[in-house]
This record gives sequence, C-alpha cells and structure tokens, in this order.
Amino acid sequence: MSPEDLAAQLEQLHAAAFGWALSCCGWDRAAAEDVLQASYLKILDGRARFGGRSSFRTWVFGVIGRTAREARRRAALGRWLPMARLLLGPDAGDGRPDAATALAHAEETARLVRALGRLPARQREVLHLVFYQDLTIAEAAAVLGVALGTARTHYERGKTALRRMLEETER
Amino acid sequence: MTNDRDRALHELFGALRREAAAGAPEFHDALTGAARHRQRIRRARRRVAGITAAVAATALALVILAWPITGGKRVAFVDLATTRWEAPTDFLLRTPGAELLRAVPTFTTGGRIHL
Repeated sequence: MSPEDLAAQLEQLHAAAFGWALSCCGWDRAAAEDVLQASYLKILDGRARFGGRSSFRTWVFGVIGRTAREARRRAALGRWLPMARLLLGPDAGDGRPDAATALAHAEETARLVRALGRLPARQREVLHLVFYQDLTIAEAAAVLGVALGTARTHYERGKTALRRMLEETER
Repeated sequence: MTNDRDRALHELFGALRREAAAGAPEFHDALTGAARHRQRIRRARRRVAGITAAVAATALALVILAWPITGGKRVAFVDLATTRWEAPTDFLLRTPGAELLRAVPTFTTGGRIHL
C-alpha cells in the first residue's frame, strides 16, 4: 500500500480512530491526540505494517491500542524516574478520565464516561469496541489480541457492571 | 428485555460518539502533529545519545586519571635506575672461580697474592 493510499484510508477512519484513542486514554483529549499522532507516524513510517490478516480498521485500532499502552508504561516510568520523562518525551493518560482535560460531555454521556472509568481496562475496551465502534466481539478480540472467549467474558461482565453503575448513578 | 437494554447502551454510546466526532481534530492537523511528534522523537534520541556520550566520556576520563592501568592489570612503578637487571639464564654463565678472573690480585709484602 502506498503512503498516499494509507493516508487516504486513515482519513476515512480518522473520527473512529480518535474515539478509540480517547477511550484508550481515559477520555483525555491531549493524550488521545498524542497517541493518535504516534500511531499515524508508526503506520506512515512503515514501523507498523498491515499484513492483511484482519480488516484495515481492526489493524489500525490494534496499533492505536498498543501505542496507548506504551504511552501508559512511559507515563508510569516517568512517575518513578523523573529523568525518564526528559528522555522518553510526553506521556499519555493512565486510562482513567482526567477531569481537567476531558472533553465536554452532556450529563448523560458524562455519566457513561465516569462509569466506564471505573471499569477494568479490558472490559472498558471491549465495550467501547462493540457499542461505540460497532465491531463484533470477534473483531474486538482481534483488536485487543485476546481469545474470543476472553473477549466475550469481558463483554458480558463489563456490560453487567456498566449497567449496574449507570443504574446506581441514576438513583 | 436484554435487547432493549443493549439498545439503550448503543444509544448512550452513540451520543458519546457524536460528541467525540464533533470535537475530533482535523485529519491534516493530526498528520502535522505527527510530523512534530517525529521531530520530538528525534530530539529525544539525540538527547539520549548526548547524555550517554557525556557519561561515557566522564567515566573514561575518571578511569584514565585516577587508576593507572597497563594491559588491564594494576602495576607498581619501579625506578629502573636503582635496579640491576638479571636474565633468568644468567646462572648458566657462572663458572667456578669466576671471581678470580674479575678481580685484580695484589701482592703483599710477604710475597703472597691477595685477592
């Protein structure tokens, strides 16, 4: 795939990719933009290559997810070693919503974001991919690099926990 | 029931998607940001290389200045002017009565030879 074709395909996916980056960074907009830029860079530089084993969208989401995890590890390292921040550059959010930089949400969606922030990362990711990105559970499993059964378990548990939290906050 | 509840979640996530899409940065801005990100990475790598080189050079200078080493072994300085070198095979050249050949004999008044 030529760089122009890659850029054109990425442009089509851009809004969805930004949503996924937001979810991976706990709805921290600045961190999500950094992760998205780093992911685009990997793809356009050829450090991440599309092998055609999944759909292009699934693959791009996988790259974004891995980049966000790397950024979180860097952020964790930066907290332990102050010098590492200087060497490794900016970091991403820790996967939990950050009130200061989070996107402005309506009351309903703010409740959803808060509830998602209380879920374990894997459950939050599977729910986002299925309900927000309209992927199947199998596609979500491919994005996250986990077995289908594992993704299904995260999906069911996450859905139950999310509903319970939303009902609790409604009362 | 379950489908209705799933639909409610879909609608909730759909509202979140619309909000996020409205606030998404332009694709070309993201690409420009990616180029800036690339420069940032290069600068960080140069910084790492610079710091590593400085640390290595300092360590090397300290080793050279504070720890005289020859061939990886610590040595003691010897003033060669105060020693007489003797080869390990010198004993082969020693012959019985060699001191007689190296000393000049003197004659005493009694007519005896004194070495």
